[in-house]
Amino acid sequence: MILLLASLLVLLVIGIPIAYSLGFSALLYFLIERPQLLLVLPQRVFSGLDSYAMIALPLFCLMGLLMNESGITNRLINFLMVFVGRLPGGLALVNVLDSMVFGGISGSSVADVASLGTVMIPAMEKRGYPKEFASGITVATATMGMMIPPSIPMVIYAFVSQESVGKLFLAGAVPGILVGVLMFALTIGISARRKYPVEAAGLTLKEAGRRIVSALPAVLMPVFVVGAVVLGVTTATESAGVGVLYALVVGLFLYRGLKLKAIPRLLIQSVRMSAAVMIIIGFSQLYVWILAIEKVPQMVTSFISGLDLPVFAILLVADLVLLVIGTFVDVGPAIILLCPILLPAMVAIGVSPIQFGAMMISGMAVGLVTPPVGMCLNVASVISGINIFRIFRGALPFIMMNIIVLILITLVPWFSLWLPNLLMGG
Amino acid sequence: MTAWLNRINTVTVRVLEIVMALIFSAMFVIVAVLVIQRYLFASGLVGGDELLEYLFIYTSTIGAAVVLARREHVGIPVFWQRMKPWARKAFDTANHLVIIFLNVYMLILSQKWIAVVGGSASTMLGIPMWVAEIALPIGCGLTVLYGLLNIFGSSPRRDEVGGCA
Repeated sequence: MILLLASLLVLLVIGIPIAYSLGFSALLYFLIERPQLLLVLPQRVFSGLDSYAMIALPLFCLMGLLMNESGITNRLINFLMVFVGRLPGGLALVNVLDSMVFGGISGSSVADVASLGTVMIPAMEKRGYPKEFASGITVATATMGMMIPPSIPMVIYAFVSQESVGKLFLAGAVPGILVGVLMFALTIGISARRKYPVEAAGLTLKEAGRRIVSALPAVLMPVFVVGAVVLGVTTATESAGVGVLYALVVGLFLYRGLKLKAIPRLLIQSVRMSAAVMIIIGFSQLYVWILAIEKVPQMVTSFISGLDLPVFAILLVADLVLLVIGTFVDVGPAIILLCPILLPAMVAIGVSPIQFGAMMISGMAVGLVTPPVGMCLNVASVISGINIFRIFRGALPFIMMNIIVLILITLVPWFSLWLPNLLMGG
Repeated sequence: MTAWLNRINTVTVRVLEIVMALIFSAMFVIVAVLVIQRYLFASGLVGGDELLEYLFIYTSTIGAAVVLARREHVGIPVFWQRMKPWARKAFDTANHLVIIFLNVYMLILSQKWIAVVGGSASTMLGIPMWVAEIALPIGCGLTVLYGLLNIFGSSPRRDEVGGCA
């Protein structure tokens, strides 16, 4: 077991992709410890790839890419400007709300920064916002994309934990909205103190109506997609398929921003994004199997139970672990690696797998905006031209809101369990 | 020589990406047909789910090889980014050798595995299981090919990480 973990760590540190680090360390383990079981390796990898539920992954990726390509960004900005443009720091407030809505459409925080950041960061700079603030708020608010349904990391967690995708979608909704509300309030405070400009003065009622109608097809999409899963009308895979169909119709015929010749590129991009995750899932099945053979989850469980700490203290330590790991490892792989070890221990101390899913995704979301790995920071750095540490400084007050919500959903299960229990039963 | 290898890399990746796009399009059509049949006509497409799963396995294994060719695999680049250029080059070659070794081993093991279990028929479609299982050695073989092309070609390493976060 020590050989497996030590070799895995070394391989990851020297830069071998996570999938192959998992595969190679597992191969070493089997060659040395259990050579008679070597033939099980391809079978385990194959069974990891053979998943109907995970077909939702490329479809959700495609849905987000199609909507993005359709030109929803400017429509959403104009739509939200109607509601908050007249407040101080209107553009910054639009940025916060935009991330909430866009996160629901794309299901991806990185996509959120890439598309909204390209428009919002230059626009905010032009209106006199400091670069650090404009980039910081854009990356920090993008973390909501992982929590607000439909969320791609929630699909991965559902697969790894064998829990309901619908319940997990709902478990992320309240924490995601709460992060948004806190960030919104913080932005109002900062904007009033720094006297950031007011936008959209003199908007006529007709123009406001036109903007609302124009954005509605995009805004309603996550409602249909998540609603169908939650109400049990469709499976997550079918719902993602319907979402793709919806995005195609909206993009090609309603918004007309989506060009037919762009579709093959988006198909390929979706498959590549999904394959990068699926190959990790495939090889992780070897690692999960070894953990089971070596009874690692049981050892972790008995270790945690033996600590004689109150549940809330264990959960806060788990939060810390999630925040630290999230700083170095990307969200999907971190879920795949940590879930088989931590989830049984959490269940043993009475934590719901759904609540732990919300905790895990919320904690990992912070990792996307913290150096040195933070993927959102890297994307924003390319857009704004300033280094990731300056962006991080700008994002820090907003990241504190993420951490407050993480602590809330850790200590008060209601935040993550109320909505799934209400709509889908206990 | 390097230019020639890079050309092979570019052309084959393009072809594989077209194949992946076609398979994924077929998957989308099947999902759409399944939904329409199930909810509008209260009937199903026999073996539709199974076919979807098998096509998905192909996109994953071929996709993983393409992702290696494009150097887009998810890793932890913190230490990598701090290395000197000569160390990066050395580690890049060593890392690819590890990937090649793993995939050659998996290729051999998966052939033996398919020889044992590949003859059984799938539950719904009744097709021999090797039709789906062979996706694994195909993916491993392609990964070996792109590992070698990455070592001997000249495409620069991407430091950013991929994924669906």
